[in-house]
Amino acid sequence: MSNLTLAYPWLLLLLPLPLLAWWLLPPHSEPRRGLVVPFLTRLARVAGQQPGNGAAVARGSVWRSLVVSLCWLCCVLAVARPQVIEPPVTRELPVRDLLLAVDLSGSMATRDFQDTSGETVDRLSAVKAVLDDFLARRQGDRVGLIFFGSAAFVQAPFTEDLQVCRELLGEAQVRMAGPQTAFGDALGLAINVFERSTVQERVLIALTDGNDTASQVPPEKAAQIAADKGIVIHTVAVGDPHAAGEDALDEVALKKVSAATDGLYSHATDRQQLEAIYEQLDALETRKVETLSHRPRRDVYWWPLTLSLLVSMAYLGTGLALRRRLEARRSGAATLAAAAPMGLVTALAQFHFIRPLWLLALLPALLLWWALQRQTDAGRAWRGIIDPHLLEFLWGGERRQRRFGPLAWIGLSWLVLVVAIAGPSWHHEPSPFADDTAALAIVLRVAPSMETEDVQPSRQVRAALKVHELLKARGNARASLIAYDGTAHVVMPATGDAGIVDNFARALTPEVMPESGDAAAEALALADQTLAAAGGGSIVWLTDSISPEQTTAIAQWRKNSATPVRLWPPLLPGGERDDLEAAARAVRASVQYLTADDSDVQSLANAARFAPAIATDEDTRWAESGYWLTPLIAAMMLLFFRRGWMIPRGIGT
Amino acid sequence: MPGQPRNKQAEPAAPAGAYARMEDLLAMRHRARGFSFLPRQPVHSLLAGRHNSRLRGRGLNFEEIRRYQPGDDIRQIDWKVTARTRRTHSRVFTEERERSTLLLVDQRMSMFFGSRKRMKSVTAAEAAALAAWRVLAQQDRVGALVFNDHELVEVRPQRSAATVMRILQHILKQNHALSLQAGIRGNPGMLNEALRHCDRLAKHDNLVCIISDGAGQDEESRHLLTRISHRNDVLFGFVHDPLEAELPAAGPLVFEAAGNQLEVDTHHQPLRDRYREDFEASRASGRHFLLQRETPVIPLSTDEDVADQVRRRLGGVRRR
Repeated sequence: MSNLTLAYPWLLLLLPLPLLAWWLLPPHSEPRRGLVVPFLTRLARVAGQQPGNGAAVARGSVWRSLVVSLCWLCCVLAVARPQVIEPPVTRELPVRDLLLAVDLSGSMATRDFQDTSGETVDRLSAVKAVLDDFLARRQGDRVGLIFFGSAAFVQAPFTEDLQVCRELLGEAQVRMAGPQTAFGDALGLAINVFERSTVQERVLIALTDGNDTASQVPPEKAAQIAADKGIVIHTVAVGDPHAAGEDALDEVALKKVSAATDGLYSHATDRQQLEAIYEQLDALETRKVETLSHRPRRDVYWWPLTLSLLVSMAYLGTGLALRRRLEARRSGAATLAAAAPMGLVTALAQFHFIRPLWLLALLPALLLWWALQRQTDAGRAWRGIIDPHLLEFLWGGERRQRRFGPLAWIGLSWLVLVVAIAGPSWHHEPSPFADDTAALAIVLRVAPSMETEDVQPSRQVRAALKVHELLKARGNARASLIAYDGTAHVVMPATGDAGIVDNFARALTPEVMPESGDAAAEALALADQTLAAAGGGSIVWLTDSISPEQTTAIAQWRKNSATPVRLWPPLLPGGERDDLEAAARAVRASVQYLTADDSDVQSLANAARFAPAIATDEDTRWAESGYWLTPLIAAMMLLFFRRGWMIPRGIGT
Repeated sequence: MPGQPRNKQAEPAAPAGAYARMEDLLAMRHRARGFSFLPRQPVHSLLAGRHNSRLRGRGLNFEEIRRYQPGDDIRQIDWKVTARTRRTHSRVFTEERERSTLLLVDQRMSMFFGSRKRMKSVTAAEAAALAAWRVLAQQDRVGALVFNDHELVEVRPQRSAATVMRILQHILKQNHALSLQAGIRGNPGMLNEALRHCDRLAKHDNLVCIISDGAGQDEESRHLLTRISHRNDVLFGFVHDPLEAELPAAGPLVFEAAGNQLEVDTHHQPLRDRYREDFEASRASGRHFLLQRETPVIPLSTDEDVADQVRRRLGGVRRR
């Protein structure tokens, strides 16, 4: 078991503690029930013993000290928190950046493409089909998305979240970026994007019909530059090679581009050629995978605890059995191996135990304890000797009988032990690559009013900065971004890639919004949708105003949704903020004010983490909370080193 | 009657065995048969035979003429014989109707013990009742000295059932006052105190029945007993419990007295032997001492019926 380590090995220093207990604690004398007899002095003389003042300080056998020491050792071991280091869990980190340049020019609307089922579809649909297939195979790569038409723009920066990529791609529309084809510019943009990437292997896949009509830089020129930068460009031609005119496919130009950068040219219908591209991606540029390894530690404090439980029970049990045998008393006492009622386990299901079956150990423990209790009742010995109706008048020392003796103590210890072994748990262990926190939808108002510079540098920028901080605080937790003004748009569906959300949040300016106005309710509804896709979460809403006509719409939304909303106005204290708060009452939003430091960010991040996440991964483990019982057990165990603190041995049976 | 509250005052509720009950003591009246304290004793009686005392007394039947002994009634001096022999002689008669019987009833804490059937104190109370009723049936006077650890009650000898009832009531009162919870401190000296009192009270020719376990007896008590037995007939009812005679083999047992505890492993055979021998020895020496003073001992065990035991010792074969 080379993987066994102690989390707190220094706690092993506790081992000599029993010496202190033995030394410092006053000896415990166990009062017993005695029979008051008139002939005690004579008996003492005959027995050659001196009557003591009631109880004697019991002295344990060698066996007992061995067992107690072993139990103590186990306890200290458990306190030192032994952990099994499990085989490393690895997570692959992509090191290869792929950029997809998708042509959205007007020519892409041409329906001249035969898909696999033989139907004629437009070129863009063909592109989407090809890329869907492609993205499905690129797990582990970072993929960026460039759309180009009259101009080229980055639709998605490099992200590992291929799902988001596919969603963004799905939203692509012909002529979104203008009717023309600026293929050369797209290459230039790609080169720019790659500039910022630190990765060595750079591959661009351009999907276009290749008829460059609006580039400032001709594609061949751009390809040359790309080749110099070490970028490999694969081109995938989409369209009918036999078509003519404006929408014709410029195969020659595409081939040139790919040849210039040692890339491949393929036609979208050409399965073989596409496979070749994939193969080249896989084979030539061997998948560079950086592994992030995490070796989860599993608490096994309960192993030594189990040992100590079993040893102590076995010791007391055998002692009991031996004495029984010795005295040849009537047999048929409770056998320890009682059938376990499963009902006990199910009843306890509400309070979660990792190993609930261990709770069954309570049963033999209880039985053993009961048997011990019976046999330590010194009075029992007298019952056969003295007639019961006389015995009740002859008890002495009953008043001194202490309630909480070693026997009760060991019963309690066993209880705590079994509970600890059963592994109580009330929370999940944080996953090593934590993204099990609930998703967060960031609803951001992008309106001219947000340009106001009462908050420095401006409300918009401050909001973006705060979003940046918030995303950073949340790590890899999923977040989506919704921007609204007169209309509401999902800028980014829920993704674990905080960077991409951050990028978009920064890039949002009032100019990009098609209409001005207030579509708050619509935005909240969209946020709800993204959260539903991500398995539930909460909404953070950054806005400087809610227009009065939206209140009813918002209230309507609130009726249908239970998603918690936190309002985070980028405003200074004042009338405007009060108005906003009043308007937000319809949403039943909690308000988080802007602060100079990051306390607002922290509180929001904390709050968002515990939002009602619906889906939890099955593979997350329950955190072992039983460990925290071990110091208690050790403390209880310590008392057994007190002189005389031992289970009173049976006084006859 | 286990489980009953320890109500030592309410007499009807007093559990049988642990405390004496009036109805039991009264019932002794009908059981006081089949034995006699009178001179004519059955063959198997303790009081018959060479070494046993003949109960003496004033009466019509002339027994003997013997040398005058201090304490003899001077009215019994046979002047003729005295004149002839020039030594004082007195006549001794048997059968004396007016002989008083004095019961010494021990109800000290040391009597509050019993392992079977009843406490020693109850045994003593019943034995005393038995004797009292018997004496009354013989038309003799009966009195008593009832003592516990701190008081001694005297009932002057009289021939009436009322006296017997008074005696029984005193016994009951002291009997019911016995309790471990009452915090009574044992007083061994009370035995001597009672004997002293008895010595003063029983001038001569009384029958003195000592019903006790003999706890606290010492040199002085022997001396007092010698003196009493000189002039009176003494019967010693030795109340004891089987557990005092022999320990059971029951493993470790915890004994206690006055807050002191002693754990004894009764599996230890030599210990049990020693214990038994010790008891036998002390009993034998006591018996020897008493027999020298012509004092018969009637052992009264707690685990047997008192009347049966007395009858066995004094009555020989059961008549009727």
